[in-house]
Amino acid sequence: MALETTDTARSRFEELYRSSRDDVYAYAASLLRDRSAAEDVTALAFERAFRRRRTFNPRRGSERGWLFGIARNAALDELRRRKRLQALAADPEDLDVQPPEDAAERTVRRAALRDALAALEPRERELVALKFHAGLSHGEIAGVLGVSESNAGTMLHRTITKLRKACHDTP
Amino acid sequence: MTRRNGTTLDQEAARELAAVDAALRGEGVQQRDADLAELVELVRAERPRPRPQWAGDLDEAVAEGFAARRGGAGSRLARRGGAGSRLAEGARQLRERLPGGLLLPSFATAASLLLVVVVGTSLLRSGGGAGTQTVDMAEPAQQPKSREAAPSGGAASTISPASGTASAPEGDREAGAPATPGRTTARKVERITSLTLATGSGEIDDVADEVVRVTDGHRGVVTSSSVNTDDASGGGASFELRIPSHRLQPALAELSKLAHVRSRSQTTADVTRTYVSARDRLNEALAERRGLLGQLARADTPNETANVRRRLRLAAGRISRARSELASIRQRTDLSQVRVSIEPRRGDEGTGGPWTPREALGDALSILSVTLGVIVVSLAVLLPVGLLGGASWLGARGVRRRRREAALDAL
Repeated sequence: MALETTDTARSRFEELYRSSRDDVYAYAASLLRDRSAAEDVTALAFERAFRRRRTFNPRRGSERGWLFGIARNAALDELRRRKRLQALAADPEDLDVQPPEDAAERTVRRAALRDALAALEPRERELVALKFHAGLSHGEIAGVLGVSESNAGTMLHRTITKLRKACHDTP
Repeated sequence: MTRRNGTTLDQEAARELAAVDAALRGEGVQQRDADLAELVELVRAERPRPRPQWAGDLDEAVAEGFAARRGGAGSRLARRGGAGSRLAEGARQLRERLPGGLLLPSFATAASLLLVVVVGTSLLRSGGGAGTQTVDMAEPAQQPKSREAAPSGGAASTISPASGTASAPEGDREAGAPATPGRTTARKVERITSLTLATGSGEIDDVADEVVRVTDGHRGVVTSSSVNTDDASGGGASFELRIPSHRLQPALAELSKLAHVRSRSQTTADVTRTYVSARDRLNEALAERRGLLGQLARADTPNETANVRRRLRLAAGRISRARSELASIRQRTDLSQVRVSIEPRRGDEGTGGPWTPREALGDALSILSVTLGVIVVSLAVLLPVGLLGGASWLGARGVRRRRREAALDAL
């Protein structure tokens, strides 16, 4: 976001905000499994991004990748803080629980998916959030996680395979 | 999480990931990837959605440019972390406000400048750049003892009252006085001052005359002088003066006003011990002579008289040598030695003409060498500080990153 004027930078940030707000929240909520903390982390991430908007370098990646990198740092800082406080060590999952309206088979698969998501490693859950909720490309995910693009793809495929198996092996 | 390269996707995995991407974009997929499309749909259905009220609050904060962010949602998180987090947040905000991440370089530059100033100040205080050594005359007792006996003798014989106004040293206040036990002797300090004056080549004669006038005015002695008015060399003058020690400072003050002072240095030597030793030898010799004179008065035989007279001659020799030594010490302590040099000012040297290109070239080279020296010294300070700062920054960044990743692993 190396922009010429303050107004232009501001308008581009607002555009980024509008297109990413719910995605960042979904990513933070998936990683933290805590709605309230996800709200705080999301707000903090956008606040930091706003302050740092002039430091964005398009040669180092996309705006969304840069934003999710900030969000990830904020989320991991929150996890560290939780670890210190030990208050949310056994934080229950409080994701939306919507009554299934689909067919029975679909309901079963959805339940299986939820179980599979809950059983994923944190890093795998993060990959799912970055891919499915945030819609980042493999290159952007690699930038956020600090790994190579092919490595990001491999990890993502492994995770998807786990989920796929969990859903479709359900009797 | 470290970056790992070299992992390659096989074709099947790449195809499946492409199918996932297509499903995420809402595009159709091949029949064999229908389960992947369904998986995408199921996972996206699990996507957490924000509360409308929170989203509205954040929209407002963004619209206001986080102007009231101290009460905003993000700051609530920062506050929950306690004082440490607040400090970290403050540092982070400061870092963010400086364009281009200038916080660390700014601190490094400030620290380096501080170091340069401290080193430079200490160098200047140690006289590294002045070329003039000044000895504190208020503490003569702290001078090296090895110098006490060094200048004894010889000084009086070189003095010739060239000015014609020389006054004899003050009377023998102590010579011959008996040594009284417990009596304190005033410190005897020998002072040598060197003064270099710079003036125009045409004014050297006038300044030389003034030097003699000042010396006379303070009842001093010009022991030697040399004045050169050669146009080729620019001329110059040198004087060896003896100024009564109690009038040394006012005399130096007047001499310093005669022309620009290029340098001034002063050394002192405490010769009290040498003086006391000579005085004691004189007193012993005088006492011996008094005793011998009594023996001479009581001598009855020619042989006895001759023997006493021979011993009297030896005692007289010792008395003479001790008095001479005392006089020499007093001469050096009562009359301070002042060496005055008068040199032509820069630009008046050589032919006495203007500043020549050759001199300008020499000056330019001098300035360049000094500048180079300053740069080298500055680099010697700045480079390690910069490297240290950079290494610290990288280390702190790595530690922070590892701690964050560890938090994820600990879930």
